Amino acid sequence: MLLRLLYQSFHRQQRRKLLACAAISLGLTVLTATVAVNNDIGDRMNLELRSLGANLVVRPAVETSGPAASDGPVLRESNLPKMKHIFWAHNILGYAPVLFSTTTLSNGKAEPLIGTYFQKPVNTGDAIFITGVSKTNPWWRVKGNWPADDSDHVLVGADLATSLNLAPGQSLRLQNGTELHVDGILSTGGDEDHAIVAPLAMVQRIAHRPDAVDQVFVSALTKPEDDFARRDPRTMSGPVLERWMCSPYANTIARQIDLAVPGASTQQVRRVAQSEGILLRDVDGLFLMVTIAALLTAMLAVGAAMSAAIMERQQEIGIMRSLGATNSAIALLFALEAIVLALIGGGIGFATGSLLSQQLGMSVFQTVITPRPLLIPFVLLASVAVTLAGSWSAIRRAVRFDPAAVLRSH
Amino acid sequence: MAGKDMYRVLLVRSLLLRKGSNLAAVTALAMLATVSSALLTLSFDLSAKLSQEFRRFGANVILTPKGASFSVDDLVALRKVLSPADAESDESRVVARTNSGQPVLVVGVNLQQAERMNPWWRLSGANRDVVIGAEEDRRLAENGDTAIIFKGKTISIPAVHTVLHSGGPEEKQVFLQLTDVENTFAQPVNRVELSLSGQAPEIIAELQRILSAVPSANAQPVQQIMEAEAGVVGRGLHALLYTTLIIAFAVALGVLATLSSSILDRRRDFAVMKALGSTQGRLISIFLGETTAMALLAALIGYVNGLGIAEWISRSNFHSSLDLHWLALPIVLVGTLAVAMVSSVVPLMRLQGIEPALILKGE
Repeated sequence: MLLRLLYQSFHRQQRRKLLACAAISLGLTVLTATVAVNNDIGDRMNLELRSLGANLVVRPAVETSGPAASDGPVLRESNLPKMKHIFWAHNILGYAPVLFSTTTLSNGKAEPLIGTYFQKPVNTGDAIFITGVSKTNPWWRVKGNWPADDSDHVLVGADLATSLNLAPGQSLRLQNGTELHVDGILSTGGDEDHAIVAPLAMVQRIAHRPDAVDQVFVSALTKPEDDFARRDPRTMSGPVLERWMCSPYANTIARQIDLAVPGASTQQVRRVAQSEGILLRDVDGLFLMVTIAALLTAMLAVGAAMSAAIMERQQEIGIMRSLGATNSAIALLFALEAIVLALIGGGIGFATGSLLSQQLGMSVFQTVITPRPLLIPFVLLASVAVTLAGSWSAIRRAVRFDPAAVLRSH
Repeated sequence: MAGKDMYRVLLVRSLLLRKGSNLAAVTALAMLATVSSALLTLSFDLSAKLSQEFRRFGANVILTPKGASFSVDDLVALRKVLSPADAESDESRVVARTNSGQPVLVVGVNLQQAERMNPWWRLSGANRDVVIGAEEDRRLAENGDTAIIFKGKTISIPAVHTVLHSGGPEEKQVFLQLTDVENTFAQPVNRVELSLSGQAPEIIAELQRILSAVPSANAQPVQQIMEAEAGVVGRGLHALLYTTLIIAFAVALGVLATLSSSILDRRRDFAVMKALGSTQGRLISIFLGETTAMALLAALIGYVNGLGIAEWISRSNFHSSLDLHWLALPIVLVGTLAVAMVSSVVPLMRLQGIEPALILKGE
C-alpha cells in the first residue's frame, strides 16, 4: 500500500516532484563543489607555499660522545636517494644537496664555491626522480642558462658577476689556469649572490671530497603542526608512536629521513616550516567555515522547497487523515518521498557539482580537481540528511492539520 | 493626490496585515543578504588578512648601504617614511675572530625587536642579551672560545647565554645587542631588515619612497616570500570569491522560488483589485512597492548579521578584527533588491493575461 502510494505520488505529480528535485540538486551541487574546492585548497596552498623553498635541512649528525671528525661531513651523496624510500616519500617534492668550498680566481681572491644539483635526474632504485635547486629554491633567477648537472659549467652570483664584469657565455679564469664556462648569472637575494654555484660533482672533484655533502635542503609537503606533532617520539610507545609516524608532520618526515639516511640529522627550517604551518591552519579554518555556510545554504534551499511542496498538499493530507491514516503513516510516506527525491537530487547534484568544481579548479589553480567517486555515498547521505532535516518541520505541521478545516476551505 | 494617498494606504495595510507571509519573505531575503554580505566581506578582507599572516615569515625587504654603513641621518630619514604597521630591525654585522682565531659572523641587533620580527626562532637559555646560533655555540664550546675579537677590541661571551635553533643561517651567527657592537667594535649599522606591511603593490610603492628618502641604500626584496605571498593571496582570493558566487547564486535561486510562489498564492488579491478597476501598471507598482520595502529592510538586517558572522570568522581564524570594505554594502543592497524584483515581476507577468473572473471562480 505504502509503495503504491509512493509510486502514485511520483507518477501523478511529476512537475511538483521535478521542482523539489531541482531544488535538492541545486543545494547538493553547491555543497559538492564547495567541499571539493575546500578539500583541495589546503593541498594547493601547501604546494603554493613550497615556493618558499626547503622546509627541512639535513646535516651530518654530530657525535655526542666526542669531538666531531674535523675532516668534513659524514653525509654521503650516494645515500640520499634513500630519502625517497621512507613512508612519506611522495611528500618529498625535491631535495638539493650542498657542498661548500672556496676557489681562488686568477686575480688572487678566494671566492666561495657552492656545489649543488640544478635539475638532476636521480635514480631512486624504482624510478627516476628529477630534483635540485629548481625544485627546492624556485625563486632563484638565472640570466642566461642553467648549467647541466654533468657539465663543468657554472653560475656566478649577481654581485660577484658585477664586480668581475662577467656576462653569461664568458669564462672565469681560476688561479690554477682552469677556465670555467659561465652559463648564467644567478640572483637569489641571499649569500649565493656573492658565490660561484657549480654542479655538485665538479665541486667534489675540485675540493677532493668525493661523495661528500655538507647539507641537504628538502622541500616536503607537511601537515600543519599541532600539539601531538610537537611531542617527542622517544617518549611514545607502540600505537601512539605509530600514529605519530603515520602523520606527515615536518617532525615525522625529519625523523624518517634520519632513520633512512646514515649519519643524518634533520631539522625544520623553522622560518618556513613554523610560519607556513600557522598560515595553512588559518586558511583551512576559513574554508571549513565557508563549507559550513554552503551546507546551511543547501539545507535552507532544500527545506524551503520541501515545505512548499508539502504545504501544497494539505487537501491530500486531509483526505488521507479522514480515511483513517495515522500520523506516523503520513509522516512515513512523506519521509520516504523525501528520501527518494534526495537520492535522485543528490546524484544529479554530485554530477553537476563535480563538473563545477573541475571548472573552478581550472580557473583558480590551473589544474583539474579530480572528482572523487569515494564521495558519492557521503554526498547521497548528506542529501538524505539535508532533505529530511529540511522537510522535518513541514511534515510535523502537515500531520497537525485539522482535516475538516482543510477540506472545508476548498 | 487621492491616488497617491490610496497607494500609500494599500502599501502600508498590505505590509501590516499580512505579517506572517511578509515575515517569511523578509526572512528569506535577509538570509540571502546575510550569506552574501558575510562571504563578500570576508573575500574583500582576505588579501589583507593573508598578507598580515605572511609577516610571520619575517623581513620581506633587506636594505644594504651603497657605502660602508648607514649614517644616523639615513636611519632617521628611513623611519620617517615607514608606516606604523611596518617593522624595522637595524643590524651592524662584522666578521670577527674568536680568541682561538676562528672567523665568526657577529650581528649587532636590538634583540627584543629581532625576536618579535622572527617569531620562528626557538630560544633556550636565560641571558637574552647574548644569543648564539646552535651550530656556532657548539663550535665555540669545542674550541673553548670565550671571547670575540674585532679590530683589537674584545667582547667576552658569558657562560650564561641563549642558544638559537632555527634550521637556517642564523645558527651560524652570534647575536649581540646593537649598542654593544656599535660602541665596542665601532661598527655602525650596515644592514636593515624591514617587514613591510600590505600587499605587493603597496610594498613596491613604499620601497620607492624608501629609496628616494634614503638614496644611499640598496633594497633587495626577499623574493621567496614575495612570490609565495603573491601565489597564496591570489589563489585564496579566487577560490573564496568563486565559492561566494556559487553559494550566493544558489541562495538567490532558492529565495526566488519561495518568493514567486508566495506571490502566485496572492492571485486572488490581484484578481479582486483588477476587477475593481485597477490597471496593470498600478498593480505592479503596488506589488513592487511592497517588495522594495521588504527587500531594503531585509538587506539591512542581513548586512548587519553578515558583518557579525564575518567578524566572528575573522577573529576565530586570523585572530584579528575585520576591515570593512564599502563595496560589500551596495552589492548586497542591489543584489537583494534585484532578486526580490525578479521574483515578483515574473509571476505578475504570468498573471497579466488571465481574466480576473477565472481566478475568482477558483480555477
